[in-house]
Amino acid sequence: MGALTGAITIRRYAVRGDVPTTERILKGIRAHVQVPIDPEGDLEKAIGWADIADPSDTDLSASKVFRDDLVVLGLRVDTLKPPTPVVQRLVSEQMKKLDHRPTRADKCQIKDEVIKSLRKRYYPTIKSVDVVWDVHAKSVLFWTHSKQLNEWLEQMFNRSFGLDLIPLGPGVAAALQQALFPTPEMLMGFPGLPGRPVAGEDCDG
Amino acid sequence: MDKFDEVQDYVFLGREFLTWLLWRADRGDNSFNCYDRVFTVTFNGRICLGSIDGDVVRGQLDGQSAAYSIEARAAIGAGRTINAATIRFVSGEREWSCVLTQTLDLRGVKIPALLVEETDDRFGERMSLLLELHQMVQAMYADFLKVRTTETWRAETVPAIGVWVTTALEA
Repeated sequence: MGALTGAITIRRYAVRGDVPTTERILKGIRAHVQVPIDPEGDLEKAIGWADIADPSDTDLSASKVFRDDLVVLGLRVDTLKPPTPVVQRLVSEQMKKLDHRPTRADKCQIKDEVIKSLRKRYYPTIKSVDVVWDVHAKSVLFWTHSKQLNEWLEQMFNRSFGLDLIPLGPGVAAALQQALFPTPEMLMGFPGLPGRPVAGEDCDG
Repeated sequence: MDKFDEVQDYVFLGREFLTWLLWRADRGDNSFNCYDRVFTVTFNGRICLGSIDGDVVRGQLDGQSAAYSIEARAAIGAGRTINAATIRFVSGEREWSCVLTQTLDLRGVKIPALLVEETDDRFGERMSLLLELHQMVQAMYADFLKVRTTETWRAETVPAIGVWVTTALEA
């Protein structure tokens, strides 16, 4: 679902900064390609670039990434976190086996051990969201409105290419360097209508 | 202020933009220019209205011409603005539709039927049509800002929207 086929729900961005070279873009992508989470470690979430058509493919060659003037990528988010109810149940069982009243430190230690053992039995969940960057038009389309994913995109884009993404929302008006305030009539209603202020009262704006 | 907050702080402009757009579309003044191409917009389908406070802070009108209904006009007259609306864009024989939100995000986009059959070319055409829609939205918003940031807004546009509302309610 996304850029290639299916439903289209997008947030649009402007790219602030100079257009990088093809080599610089590819280097930035490869430096931040998704690296699978190591179950032996304690990392819960990993974010990186992947192939737009196949999120499991992180061997990103120029032919996969560049399509005419467009850079096409998947922002892949891997999460390896055992379910909280399972962790709680196992921690509770382990604490009952202790021969003394469990302290806070005991609970923390048991919880760490339980999570560590469970991480080896669960597979990471993988979510990939399509990103299309029109390099010369300096615009980016991102296939979700999720606040968290959009923040991660902005961070990853900056880390990878040294460029800022500016959401193309009504906030672009801020670039006008002119203070704009809500129109009173569109907050309180138009004068003269039933229950509305009369012209000259409250709505002078 | 982070960028997300910046957008949120100006979100009233997105709502005023959609309300202005409906006023223009209802008057038949619904043509815009984008890179020398003319396109028209019409509202068709659901619209969501809201206000910052009051008895009703969020409402939804469903129907083929919900935006042009007396209920929509009454809501705008009472100080509600449009949070999101289904809008149809027509340029020549091609037609797009999407839900345009107060943050200028696009939902449920429908693009014109693709003409090519090769997978790679289909992607190119799909992106080209999507970027065209993006440019059309930017062109409309730029037109709105031209009015919104001048005296014309307070002196002419807002009173005209008021007349448009009251005329419908008195009819």
